[in-house]
Amino acid sequence: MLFLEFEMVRIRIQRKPRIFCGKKTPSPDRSLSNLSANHSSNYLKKRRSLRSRPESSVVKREAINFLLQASTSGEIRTAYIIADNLYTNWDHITQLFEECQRRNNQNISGKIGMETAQASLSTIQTELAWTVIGGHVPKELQKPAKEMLANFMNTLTSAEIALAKQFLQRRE
Amino acid sequence: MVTLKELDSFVKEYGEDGLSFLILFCHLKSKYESDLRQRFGLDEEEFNRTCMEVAKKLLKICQGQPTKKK
Repeated sequence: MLFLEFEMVRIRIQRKPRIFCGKKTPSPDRSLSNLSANHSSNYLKKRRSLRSRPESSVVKREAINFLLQASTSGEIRTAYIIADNLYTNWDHITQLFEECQRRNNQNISGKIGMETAQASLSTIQTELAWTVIGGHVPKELQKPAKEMLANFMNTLTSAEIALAKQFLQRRE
Repeated sequence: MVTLKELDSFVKEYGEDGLSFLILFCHLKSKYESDLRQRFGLDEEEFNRTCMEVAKKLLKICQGQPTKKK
């Protein structure tokens, strides 16, 4: 019995937190494990951020540099000329287009499918815009300008316009 | 495909600069799409943003150049 009591007292003493300079000190094992866990999680976070962020930004920067080098001054000039002439004659072009669309809807949509009607509409609006601005484009740029205009009219979507609006608003 | 009617509000809001930005963006997108996707493996969103940033930069570089008619 006495031995048992002695053993229990010994265990209680062992479980008591150690007092060092009036402060409780955590057991060395636990503090070490906490430290290593914190260290490893911080290390992993840092590694992950290092792995993901700069890689995507580097790729993007490279892509931007590639595009900047690939695009020619002729392309930019052509874009400027088209934009300038379209903008100058914008009201005239939209009026003409609306009139054309009204006629088209009456004549075509009833007879042929909607897709065909839309395809013909895109060709019509390209041709219409070109008839108005084509005369103002320098001779050497006539072909690329018409291609650029046709591409602009045929491939641009409403979603892209919304994206462009978002982008420009953020930059302002 | 977008109609001129849909473009109208954009043109009225952003003017000539906005229109040239949009034309250049569209051109870059269609001309360099395969190159950019193959080389850099960009997804749709990144690709769009890259093209827009380049279009904006190119127009900024060329501002004040004789290519732009006043």
